[in-house]
Amino acid sequence: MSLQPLKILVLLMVLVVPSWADDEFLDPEDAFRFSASLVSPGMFEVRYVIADGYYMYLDRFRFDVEPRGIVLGTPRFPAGQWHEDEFFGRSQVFRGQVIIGIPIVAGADVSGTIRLIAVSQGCADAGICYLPTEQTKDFELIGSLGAPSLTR
Amino acid sequence: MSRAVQVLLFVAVMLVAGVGGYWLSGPPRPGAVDVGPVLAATLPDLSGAPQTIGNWRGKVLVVNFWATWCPPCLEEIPQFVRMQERLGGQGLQFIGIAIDEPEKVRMFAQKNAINYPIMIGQLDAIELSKSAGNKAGGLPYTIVLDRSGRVVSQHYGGLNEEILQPIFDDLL
Repeated sequence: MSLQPLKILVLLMVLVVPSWADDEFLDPEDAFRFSASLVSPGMFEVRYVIADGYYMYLDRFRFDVEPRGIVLGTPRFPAGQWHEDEFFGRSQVFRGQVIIGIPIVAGADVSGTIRLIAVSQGCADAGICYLPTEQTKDFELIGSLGAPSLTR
Repeated sequence: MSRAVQVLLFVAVMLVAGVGGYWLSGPPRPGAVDVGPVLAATLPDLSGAPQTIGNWRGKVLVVNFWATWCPPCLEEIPQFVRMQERLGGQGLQFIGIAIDEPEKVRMFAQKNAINYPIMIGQLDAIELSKSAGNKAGGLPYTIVLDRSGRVVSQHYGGLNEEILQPIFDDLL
């Protein structure tokens, strides 16, 4: 057996790196990876990719948009999974991934940036809950929101 | 280098790597926490009166960041109440910092007969917990300080009497 320095280094990395990663809780942005798109002139779609061992509460999502002249409708959630705890009883939660449709019920003449604001909250099975997290996505639009040209 | 020496060297390196990996990956090391902002912080209590955490210096302090929307936070609090009742006379002092709406905190504190000071904060309390080592911003998050104000223990997630008692045995 010949133990060259490179082999030793590789073995060190194999031992050290996973043990570091496994014991750390993820930052909320990594536990609940957010993305958003404008899938039609009247509908935003928000997607969260949820890390293994983490979940998000259905009733703690909030969505808003700027500028204020634009009005969002009721978000369309898929069915969640039932989660039970002794304090809040049964709640619907999402694991793995959730895609939420957010209709735009009243548009406005927009030329420039509109910002979708998403607030969410989730927990880790290992026993911590994250503070509500706000994430945003900017869209560059030309024209009215009812029939926008999406430039970015 | 003989084969036996190579094997011994390999075992030694692996031991160092294992111990080092454990050390690096374990709970945040108390030395990494700047407790100054926590002791200097002034936040309103349940009656709205400002309270400075440093005023309790000299006791063994357990500073617990929590919220009413956080199930693991609610699970540990009755145990804190029991330990405060049992060990308060020996110099143990729990302090709760709720990142929440004041009315919800007041209702929960009343219902659960919380017998230690609760302060309420928003963004300021979030930043405080991060300065105290709560990198991921999760709750509950708890630090234990000895009588000189040095952080001796940090905990992500729920605590119970079995975990805390040995820590207190060394400090009280």
